[in-house]
Amino acid sequence: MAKIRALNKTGIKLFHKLIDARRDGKDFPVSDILPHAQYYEVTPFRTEIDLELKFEDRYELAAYLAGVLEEYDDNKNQYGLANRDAYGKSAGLWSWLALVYFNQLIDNKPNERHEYYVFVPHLGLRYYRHSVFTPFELYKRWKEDSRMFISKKNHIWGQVSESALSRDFLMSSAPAVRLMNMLYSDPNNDGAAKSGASSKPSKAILKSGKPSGAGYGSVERFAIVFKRLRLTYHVQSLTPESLLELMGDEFKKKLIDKS
Amino acid sequence: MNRIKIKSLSHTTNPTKLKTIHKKYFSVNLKESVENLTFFNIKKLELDSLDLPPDASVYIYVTAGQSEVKFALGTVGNRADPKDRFLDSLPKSTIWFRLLVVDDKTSKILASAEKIRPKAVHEKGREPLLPVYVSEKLKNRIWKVHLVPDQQPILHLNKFFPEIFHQIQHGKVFQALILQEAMRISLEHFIRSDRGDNNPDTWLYKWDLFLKDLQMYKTTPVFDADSLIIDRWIDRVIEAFSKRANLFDNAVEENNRLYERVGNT
Repeated sequence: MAKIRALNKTGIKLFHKLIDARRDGKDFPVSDILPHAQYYEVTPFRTEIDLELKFEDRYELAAYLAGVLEEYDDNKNQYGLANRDAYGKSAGLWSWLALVYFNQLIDNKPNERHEYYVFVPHLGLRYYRHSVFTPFELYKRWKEDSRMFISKKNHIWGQVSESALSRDFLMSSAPAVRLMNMLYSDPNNDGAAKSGASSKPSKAILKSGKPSGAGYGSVERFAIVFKRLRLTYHVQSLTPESLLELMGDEFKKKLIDKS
Repeated sequence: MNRIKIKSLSHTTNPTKLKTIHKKYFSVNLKESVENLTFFNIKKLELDSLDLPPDASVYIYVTAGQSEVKFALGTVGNRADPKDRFLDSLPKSTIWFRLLVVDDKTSKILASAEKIRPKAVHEKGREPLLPVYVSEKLKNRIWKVHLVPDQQPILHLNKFFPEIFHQIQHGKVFQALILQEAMRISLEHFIRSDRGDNNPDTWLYKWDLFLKDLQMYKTTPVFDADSLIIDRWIDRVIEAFSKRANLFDNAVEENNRLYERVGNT
């Protein structure tokens, strides 16, 4: 068990070097950064963290951290997204947590996009790709309903996450989030997103002359249809069932396919 | 010669009958309490001219990032501004307002004002293409363009830079150095943004008009165009804008004046 820390500016810069080194196939263990006091700052979080814990997936990691970071809500302005400093406390905390579980968050090599591991609140929209911060925030807000938006594999971000989380109008709407869960979560796979849930709609015409139905009823289409619908309906007052009624047959079919 | 009679087609331009609440009828501003908590005030809300049913409900939704807060304002015929108008539960990012008049029985929106941005003190009436926000949080950066998907880009300026607001309004060198690159970032965002329903009240429409004025509208790349094509098109827009606004010449002139003054002292 260890106290929860936040990387300082030197620590964050070194984390970038670690990612680059690992991508080049070089040996750069996280233990070259983690235990060294010159690379971190103390935080107000009192509960200690288990550095050796293995997680099935990012959802499990998020649920664990939601229990551990008890003082988060009281310190959200410093350690949450409101702190947009590239080397601030939020960048330091979430980067430190990603460093702690770094070996679980990568496959053989880390992704070339450093924002998956180093929290970048100063870089506009790229922050949401962070492997630890985003699942944590999702879990804090949506609890079990967040399951569908979080990849089942630790090292994969996932197209569902990309399609849904990049759209604020979707994720700020409780009926939309609940309906997406009804449509796309797979009860036979712990509620994770079903395969094909995020397929892009195809414009191809089949040999039969009919348009290809691929991607219809997907999360991508859901975002488009929901965005239109919210301009004409007070979607916040709708139940997921009545929202589905308005969304159209392509989504109702998804529910039938699911059952 | 016999004329062929073609059956005429008719279509309704506004099938939903949804009424737009123009920005001149609804405006809000943000204030800070003595405890430094942000709250909003409704500066103007006029619904009388829209002929809405008096029992229709009125709501304000305030969004920031992926969070949304609802405020109920009673009904059209019996409106009451909410007493608690604090926005402290929202994350500290750009705040947008949405005003809805709703038939609660059918959940249909009867009238709406979309993507309303609270006015800052320095904005007097006009709707800027690239609104300016003076921020305390830019640390060592002088400026940045704040982007939220599908929403209007906002130029953030560092509050702690001396006379920053005066500089962006009047400093020719300052303008030339910032505006060209701010425009590049904003145009990239503009191209990638969802066109939605092409409502003339949207920020995208304002940028359309700006591009039409520069005679660059027709060549606007599609959202998934090759990044090289987009870059080249943006270069041409920036050049056209800079030429129109005389950005370079004005900056050179100001620079020369400054050096002459320094030379004389």
